[in-house]
Amino acid sequence: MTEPTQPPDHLPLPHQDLHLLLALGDAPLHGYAMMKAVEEQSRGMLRVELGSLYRIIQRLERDGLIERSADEDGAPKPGRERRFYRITDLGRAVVAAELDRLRAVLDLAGRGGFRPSEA
Amino acid sequence: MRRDDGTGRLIRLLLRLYPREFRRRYGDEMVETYRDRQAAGGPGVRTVAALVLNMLVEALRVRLEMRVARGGTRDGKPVPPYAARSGVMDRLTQDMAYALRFLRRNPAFTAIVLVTLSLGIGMNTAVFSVLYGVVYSPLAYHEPGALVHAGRTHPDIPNVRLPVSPAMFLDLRERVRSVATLEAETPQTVVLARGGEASRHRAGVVTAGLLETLGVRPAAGRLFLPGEDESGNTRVAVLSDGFWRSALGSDPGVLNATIRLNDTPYTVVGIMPPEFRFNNAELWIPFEWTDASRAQRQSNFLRMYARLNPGVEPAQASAELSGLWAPLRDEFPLGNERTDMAVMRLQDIVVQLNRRPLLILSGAAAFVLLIACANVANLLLVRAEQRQREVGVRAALGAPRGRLVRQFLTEGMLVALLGGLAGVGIAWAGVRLLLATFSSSVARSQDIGIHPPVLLFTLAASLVTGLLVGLLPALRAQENFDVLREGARGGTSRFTLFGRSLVVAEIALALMLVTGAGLLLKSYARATNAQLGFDPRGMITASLYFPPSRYADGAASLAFTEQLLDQLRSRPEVTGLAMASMVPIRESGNNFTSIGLVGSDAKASFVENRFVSPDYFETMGIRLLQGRLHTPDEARNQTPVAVIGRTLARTLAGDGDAVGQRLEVSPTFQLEIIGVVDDVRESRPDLPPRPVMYRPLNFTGNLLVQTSRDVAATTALLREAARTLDPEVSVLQVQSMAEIVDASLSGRRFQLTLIGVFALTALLLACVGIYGVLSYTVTRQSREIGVRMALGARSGSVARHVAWRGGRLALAGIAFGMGGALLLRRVIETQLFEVETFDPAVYFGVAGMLLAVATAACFLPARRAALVQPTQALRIE
Repeated sequence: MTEPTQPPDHLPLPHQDLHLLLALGDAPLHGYAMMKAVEEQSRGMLRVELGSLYRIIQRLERDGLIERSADEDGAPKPGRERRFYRITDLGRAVVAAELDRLRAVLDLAGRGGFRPSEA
Repeated sequence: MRRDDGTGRLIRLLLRLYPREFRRRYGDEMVETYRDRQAAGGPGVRTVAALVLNMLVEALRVRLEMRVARGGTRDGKPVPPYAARSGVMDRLTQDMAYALRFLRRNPAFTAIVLVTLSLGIGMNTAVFSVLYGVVYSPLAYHEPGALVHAGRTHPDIPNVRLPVSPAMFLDLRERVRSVATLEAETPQTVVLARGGEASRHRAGVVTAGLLETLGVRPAAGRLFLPGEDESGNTRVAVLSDGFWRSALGSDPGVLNATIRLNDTPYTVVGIMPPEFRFNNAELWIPFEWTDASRAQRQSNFLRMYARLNPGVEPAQASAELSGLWAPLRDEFPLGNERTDMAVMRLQDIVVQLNRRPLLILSGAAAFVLLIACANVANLLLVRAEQRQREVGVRAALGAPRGRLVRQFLTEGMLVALLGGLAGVGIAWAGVRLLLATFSSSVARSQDIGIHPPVLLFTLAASLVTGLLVGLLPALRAQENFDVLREGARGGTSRFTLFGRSLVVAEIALALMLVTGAGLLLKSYARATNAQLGFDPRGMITASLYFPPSRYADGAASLAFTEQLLDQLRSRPEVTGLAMASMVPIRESGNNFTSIGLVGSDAKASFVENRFVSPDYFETMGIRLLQGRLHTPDEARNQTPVAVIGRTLARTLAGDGDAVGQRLEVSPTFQLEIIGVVDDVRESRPDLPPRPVMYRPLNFTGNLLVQTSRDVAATTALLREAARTLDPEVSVLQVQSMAEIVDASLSGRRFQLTLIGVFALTALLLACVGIYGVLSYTVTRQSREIGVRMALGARSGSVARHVAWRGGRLALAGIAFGMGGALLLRRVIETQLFEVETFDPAVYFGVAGMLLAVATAACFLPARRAALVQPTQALRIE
């Protein structure tokens, strides 16, 4: 479609995108599992509603950060439309770049005398 | 094929707003994901609302992101994803700024659009706030979902739970297991004596645990303690906030002080918070359990309330109580024949009573909003036409096609959101005005307001409105995009056709609404002039309060009353005097569950039991149809005789003669029927007459005074007369019969007022619509008109031609509207009174009126067309 993008092209990553990518770190997930994982990872602070989830999935898929996973789908039950998504190598690289960026933000904050609370 | 539930279908519907490409790829999957989530825990109404809102907003964002991604180039290079994302926001801001600039530069256009939309959205918000407050917001009790009302049910009066006798209540309370608590309440009028003044108040007489069961903490003091309903402990009272403020002047020292109710001292132990309401009571006192009341099974007056045990559904509690009730009923059948027992959630009772009329109002408000949308869409369409060339120029300069479409959608959204903002203000003012006027005829009026869910509703309504009004011009712009034709005016594109269909739809909707209002208005007029069976004119009612310490037995008060009546009879302004145990329409509900004639199987259910003085019928103008009336001797001797109403006579004796037969009230008590009188609407002017029996009165009832004077003068007259006999007897509750009849129709007035306002607004908007389209047509066609006039057409025929264009639209709208009204007529059937759902006078009257109004709206544009100067018109181009 378009020429390949580099990880920095995708930064900064919106926080919902980041959490969805993090949720796919271990194994491919389907839509509802992604919603639940984001909510659990963020301890309920972040919720992705149905419409937002699929807008982001579409974008991540289009940008090549995730892709539909064939292997986890197994033998689909007739009439069921449950698709699994997994993170791509580009996706992992973008997450890494984003984490670098966040680390830089933390360093910057530390130099300014800001410190995360000890919670 | 798989089947979708309601929300699944809703999601599929919302998915239609998404680009097809997106829908194909993710649609089924989204429904599946939604199902997964539903399986994990069903969403409530609020979650569904959030979902709908989310999908609406995201549909727009998906469209924008996809366009940006597809456009994909900037300065000839592919745009990286991050830049594309930020571009979306940039462009949105730019579109907004452009739209705002346009609105600022066209103040007249902006004013019309905003007024129209804010009226439409405001009215919907106002009605929704009433609907939400009354029907959907949780009751202000602790865990209200577990609170139920329990009672006897009877096949002749569905959806009503009847009270029980104290002994039956105790039997049930001892055995029932599905509820945590079973408590009871009965209303009673009490007289508060304070500083030489007496006033009547509605008290709730409650078992000790009732207020505790509702789970609301008092604002000050405490609730009743267990055992405070035992004889000897009951002289305690809990006050409502309203009673404390209005009757006791917010006296801060009232807690633990003594107030005198019915001449008996009560200690105030608690004051409830302002938002607490229960059955309209102003204060609460304990029910008194004595040996006599524990054994009482004759009289059913305790209304039962319960809190279900955790996890118990109302149906389970109903089943248990029904099982407990059957043996009790069979053991004590008197008054309990054919009864069963059931519970209903308090919340469901509120819903059952109010939902239908409020949904009708919501529908009417939605019509107004649709008409408003049609009008604004038309205005924007016209503007899109005018901007045809601007669009063309921008297209030629390289503006992407999607950008222009977005611009129109943004404008639609912007005016809708601004309209919604103003609409909240209109709703706020409207709700305040409504509550000030109708607070007594709206249930739960204290719960009505602009609450957060109401604002959510307004936002959703505004977004939908924005889509509706923005879509048409956006599509129009898209069509114009490729067509850049100089001077292509005057042609009939399918969009001007669409504009006209919008006007037809508006007129049809307005006609349906006005027809509904017309039917309700006619019903109201019929109800106001209903044959009550008595003459309320010049009739004033009052009651007397005797201090119990000095008037312990009924004989003393009756002697006083007779003296008073003698004195009043000598006054020239008093033309009639009578007494009755209950004032018609204001009071009802004392009845026998089932009675029949001796030696006959015919039974009548819920027979009103009223006691009246011998002169009652003549004073009230109730006609005697058969037999005779009571005599003063029969009243004095308590002779077991009764005069009965026509409905009861027909139910029991059919076409036979009821006079001379004996009514069997119980196996040990019979009454001889001595006369039959015409029916009286004892409960409400718009409800059919109930079976009624009148027995001779030998105690002091409500006074009924037939007089030429007004309420104030009669109050003074009665007070003066009573004071000369005994200054400690008070005259209370002086009211004219006309006021009582009027008050009983306030619910109808509320509904009629709102629908009337909606109908008038709809009519006005439809007129503006037809005027707008016609005058735009005239402007557009002024060249054509000029040519025709230059060729010799007379101005009169030109005007007729233009007027006929409008007239055609009006006629088409009227035809569709009448069809629609006929289709929808069942919806308001239950709200009508003595009016057929197809009432020709209303239907054709409304159609005629609409035609007249539409003709008036055509007049100005037609005149303008007639005044077109051929030379000028031809010069314009």
